[in-house]
Amino acid sequence: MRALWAFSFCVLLALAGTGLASTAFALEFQEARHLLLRAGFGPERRMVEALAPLNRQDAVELLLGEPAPALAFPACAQVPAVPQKLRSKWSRDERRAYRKVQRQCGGKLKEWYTARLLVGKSVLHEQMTLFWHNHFTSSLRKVRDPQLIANQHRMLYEGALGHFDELLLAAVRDPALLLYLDNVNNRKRKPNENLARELLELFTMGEGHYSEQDIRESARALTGLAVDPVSRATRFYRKRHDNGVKTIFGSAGRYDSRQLVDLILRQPATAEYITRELWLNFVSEPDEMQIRQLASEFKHDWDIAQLVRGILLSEAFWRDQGRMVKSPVELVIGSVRLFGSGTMLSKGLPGLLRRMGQDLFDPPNVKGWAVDEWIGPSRMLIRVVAGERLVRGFSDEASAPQLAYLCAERDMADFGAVPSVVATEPDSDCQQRIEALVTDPAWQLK
Amino acid sequence: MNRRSLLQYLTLMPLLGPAGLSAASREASSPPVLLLVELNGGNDSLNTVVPLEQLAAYQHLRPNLGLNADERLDLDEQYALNLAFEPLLPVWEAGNLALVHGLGYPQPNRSHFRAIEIWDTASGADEFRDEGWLAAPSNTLGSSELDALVFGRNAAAFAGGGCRFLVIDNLKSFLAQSRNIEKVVSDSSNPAMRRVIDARYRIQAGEKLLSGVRPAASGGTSPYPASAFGRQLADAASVIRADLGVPVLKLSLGSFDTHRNQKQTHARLLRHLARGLAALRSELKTSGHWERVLVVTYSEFGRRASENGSGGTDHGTAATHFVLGGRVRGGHYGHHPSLVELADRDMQFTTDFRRLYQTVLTEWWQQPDLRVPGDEWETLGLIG
Repeated sequence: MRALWAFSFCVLLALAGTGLASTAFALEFQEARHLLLRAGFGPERRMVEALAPLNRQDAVELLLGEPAPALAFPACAQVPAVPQKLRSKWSRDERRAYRKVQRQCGGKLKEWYTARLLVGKSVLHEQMTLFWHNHFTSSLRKVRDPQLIANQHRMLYEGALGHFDELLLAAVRDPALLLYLDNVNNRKRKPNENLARELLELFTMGEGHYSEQDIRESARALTGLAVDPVSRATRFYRKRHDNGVKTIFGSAGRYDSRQLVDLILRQPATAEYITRELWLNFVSEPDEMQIRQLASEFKHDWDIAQLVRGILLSEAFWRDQGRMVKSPVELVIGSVRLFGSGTMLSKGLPGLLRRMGQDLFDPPNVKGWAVDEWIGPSRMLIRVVAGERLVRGFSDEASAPQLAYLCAERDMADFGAVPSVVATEPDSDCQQRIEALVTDPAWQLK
Repeated sequence: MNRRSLLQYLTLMPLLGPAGLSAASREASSPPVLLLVELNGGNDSLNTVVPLEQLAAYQHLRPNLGLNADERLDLDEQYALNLAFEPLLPVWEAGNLALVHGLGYPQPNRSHFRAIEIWDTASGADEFRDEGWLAAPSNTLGSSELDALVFGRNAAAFAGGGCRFLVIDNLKSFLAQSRNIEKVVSDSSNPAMRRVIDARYRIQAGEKLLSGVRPAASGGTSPYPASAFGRQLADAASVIRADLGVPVLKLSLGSFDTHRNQKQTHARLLRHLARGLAALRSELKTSGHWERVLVVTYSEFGRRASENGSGGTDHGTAATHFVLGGRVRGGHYGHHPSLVELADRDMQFTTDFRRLYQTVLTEWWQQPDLRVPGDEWETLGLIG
């Protein structure tokens, strides 16, 4: 079945016509740069060199096929939290000290994440994990349990390019998410609609495709799905579950969480909503026809990798160079990966990202990071100032091949997604040219 | 001349610009200022303003947390303030402090995120608006490079429209950092590039506008509280005194999210707020600007009517908020919600918060054509 769909997809691509010629040839530098800016963390040397001999299709396959190494979280995030019941017997000072340790562990987890993003070749996999992290949101601030956030991260990482139907079910049953959206308080006769509402509004269907009654009834289907206070694992409390008949999207039954997920997946709005979200993650403008087309394929087997492949091989993607704004992670991680920098240890990175509006594992709310505000005036200042700080330590640690790659083999401005706005002074040295680039408006774009 | 020195040269310009105008004509062209203070986290209204006529019910709901007689400051027979608000007593006595009671909206939301979004966008509980309630008004009124200046966090009240707002921590750090932003002149057909250029332009415009304002001195003899909030208030006073034509300034103070051991934390925050606003009033009275400023507080929600088991309060609904300024007709507006007839254990609002917003537009700015969305909101009549 999947092969059939892949086949018809290729036929479609061929029919697209204009795309055919350019997909057959090896990538130009600017094409490799574009793909790496959107599907990775920028045009660093080894990634560009790996893609250079390939055509578009093979380049996308290389990024999709790059094996994702196993995650090794900091030790503190691998142990279950002390149960509340036990803690309540502690003294105030002991409880306070414990909270502090947990907060520090959250900080370590953020450092671990940024350090990880600085290395490794599975850049598309990391990008997709970030996408799902911002889709199925939870936060350390509310969940207050680094281990559960780490486990959630593993769930998203492992499913990032897998199948959406499986990922959705895993997310709905994820302990951190159940805590974050208060489903632990969702009981028969005392329903809490928080998870049900966000499940439909933000995670699957989008506003306008369900009624308030659908939310109320979905909340009933989710009753009893909570977190065991001792093991911190998901647990279904049969007595808290409302076993009555619910009417959701017009059909009635004694639905539980699994059946609710099935019902949601059968709604046409779901495939379109997810396709659109993912499209807009990679392309600046929606293309309604393409989105509908990709969604109609996506809903048959929910293959995320296949959907990403379709988007990255679309003509719209390749025509879109420099028309999106880099996220803080892309800006900072991408800069360090390209230039290297002794001044930017991973210890300082989470705070820098927070000030830019992308607090890892702590999005401001269930909608995720305010993507539209990456370059609001408050953030722009810190983005430019951080760029200057970043290059300050560059020359001390730059190696000869690195210098050659950045300043001899290419024009520095090539590393920006669009031509620089401010002309560099002709006699400037390598470091000055890097500084001119990272403070140029062009450096904010991908 | 290299680019940086050119920029430094440009930043000298505003000193030359407005200096040519007399203080009086600058003032006449500057719109009246709204200074919005967000009490971030959900201020516990019932321990800020106590409805004395319902004292028995109050004490019943809050046997431990309720304010005792020696922790209250009676304004009249009906209401008492938390004693921490004492620095604002002279404003009340001068008749420039209005208390608007029972502010809220139907089907109140108790989520921090959604509730503050409702207040910032003047939405109903089930309406989703992208545009902040001050985006259009501040843009209409703004007569300089900036329509709004936000200190610290949350500019949602200005977002989503054509409002040219700037968010800064404080003047000193903004002016120090923004000098490094080089001037960029570029026209681009790329919308993303236009947004980048626009953001940089706003920083430069802000720097140009603000570079003549002297940042507040911190610590020492300053009458403002020694804190980020105190410093921001002092900066706000400096900006107001410079008559720059920026119609809205916003600050936030927090966190008022007092789920546990509330009493001390809450009193400390209220004292902070009251001392800061008292210092602002005294500075602006001296400079002659107090008649040109309207201070309005708001918060995502009030807190639960009854205390919880940990010496705090959980998320609730309706709340009293404060309006002060030289042209404010002091006193009480609206009725305090009943402490007996609760809905879902919470007070039921008596005055829609959008009436307060419409009052700002119609009575303060004299812009009856500007409408707060949702309904024909009746104004409160609190500006003299």
